[in-house]
Amino acid sequence: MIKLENVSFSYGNIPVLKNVNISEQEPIIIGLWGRNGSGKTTLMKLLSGMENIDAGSITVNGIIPYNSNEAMNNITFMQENHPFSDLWNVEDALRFGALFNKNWDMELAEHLVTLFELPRKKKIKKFSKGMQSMVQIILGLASKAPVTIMDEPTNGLDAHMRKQFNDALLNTYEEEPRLIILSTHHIEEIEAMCEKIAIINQQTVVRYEETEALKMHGVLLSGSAETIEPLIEGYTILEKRKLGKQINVMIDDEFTDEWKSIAKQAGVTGEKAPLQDYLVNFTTKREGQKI
Amino acid sequence: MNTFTGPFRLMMKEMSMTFYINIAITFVLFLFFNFLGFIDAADSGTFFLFGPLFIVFLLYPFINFKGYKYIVSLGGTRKQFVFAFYLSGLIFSLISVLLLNLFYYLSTNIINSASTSVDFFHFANLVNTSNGLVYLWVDFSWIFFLFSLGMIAKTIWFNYGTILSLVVATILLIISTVVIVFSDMSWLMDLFFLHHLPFVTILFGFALVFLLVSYLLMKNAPLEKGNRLNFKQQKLKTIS
Repeated sequence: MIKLENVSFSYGNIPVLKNVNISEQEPIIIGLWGRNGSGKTTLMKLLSGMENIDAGSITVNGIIPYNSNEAMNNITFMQENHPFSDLWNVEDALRFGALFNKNWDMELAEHLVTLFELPRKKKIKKFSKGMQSMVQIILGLASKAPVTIMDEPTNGLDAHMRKQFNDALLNTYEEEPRLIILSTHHIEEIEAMCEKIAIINQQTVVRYEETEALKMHGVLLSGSAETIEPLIEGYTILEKRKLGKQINVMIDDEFTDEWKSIAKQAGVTGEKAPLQDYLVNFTTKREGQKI
Repeated sequence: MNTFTGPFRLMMKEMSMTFYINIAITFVLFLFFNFLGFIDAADSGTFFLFGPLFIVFLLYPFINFKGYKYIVSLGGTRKQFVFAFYLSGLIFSLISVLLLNLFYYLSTNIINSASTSVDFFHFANLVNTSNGLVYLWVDFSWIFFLFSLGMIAKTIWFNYGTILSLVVATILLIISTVVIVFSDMSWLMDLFFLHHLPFVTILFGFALVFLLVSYLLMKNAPLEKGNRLNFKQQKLKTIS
């Protein structure tokens, strides 16, 4: 479905992506996580054919997406601030959605408009940020494109609407499995839906793993410094905070039953680090380093 | 479904609002000028009915270029944007020419014969012919040329940014001024006033060249204004 080999891209002389390698042939939901400026949006623009690569190769459903008419029928990319014309209302957006997407599901689109309680005749430009996100979600999901990419889809949505989005996405995915890529800064918002997570840092994809495997990473230990220090020797320390004689440490290892018993025997607290914290620290520690 | 249908319909919608407004303005002017004729206040003057429509075609590329990001964002290509824009421009040009000349016809053959008298200027008057097709061709050439002039200007501005575009515009202005001041331009006046049909045909030729150059610049255009690196949009290979 998607295959990127040694893909590099720059804006002028400023490199944005370097030697990106990622391949996925199954119709799964992928979470794309990265910090600000890591290159997430650029990667999605390359996948959707909005930008052209400088080096390497990229195919999406067997198509080189840049300037390809066929890409329109295979890829949908909803940007974080997707541009909508001043003239369009919801009905216009649905009409153009149908005209631009071969697999467009008008029934689903109408259902989502009703679900999100969107006014059909009001100009989209006059919508709140959350309501505009809902229009983007509708266009993205109803396109039923074999490769659907959504940049920060839940931005501006309240908790209730976020749940509606999650349910709608999973329902339509179950009906028609396709490759869906969701980018986010907050992994906890989408991790439950994603089979795999790609981490982008320092202009390249540094990890691409099963969500369940990735969630096992990050061991949090807290207790007295003199007890913990010997336990973490040889491990990569992602975060260390001292509070008098106490320390809190996050190390880069899988949180297994072995760690539970080690912590119990040593009399310190051992727990799994939240995935978001782990990712933040994992990418922070690589600052200034070449990956 | 043909992948061109979406981009084409999108551009037609984008352009339609400005078009309808200008048709309405032209119609109101048409009624107003004829009213002046009706009250015998139009004997001494010639009226220009084509103004709003000619101006809007010059401005169309500036007003409706935003269709570019709408089309590319929905999965269309840069080429589809250009062709959709050109085709929409062509369709609205033809409708404008027909409507303008319908107004002229109504004014000359129906309203004037019923007692009013108003004189509308038409560039085809310079050709000195009664052939209706020449009237249509002259209007169409002008409108098409103005659209292409706006298109090349907007395309250069979009691709190379404001500063470079202003530099180019200033150089062209200086060259034009020098040519006008220091050379004999009577041939151009002769061409315009005495040979207007060849003149508009040359304009049409320029229009085709402008649209071709715009297409070449836009087929690999950057996403954001002013981000083009060079004519071929080739990037510096700084990354292995």
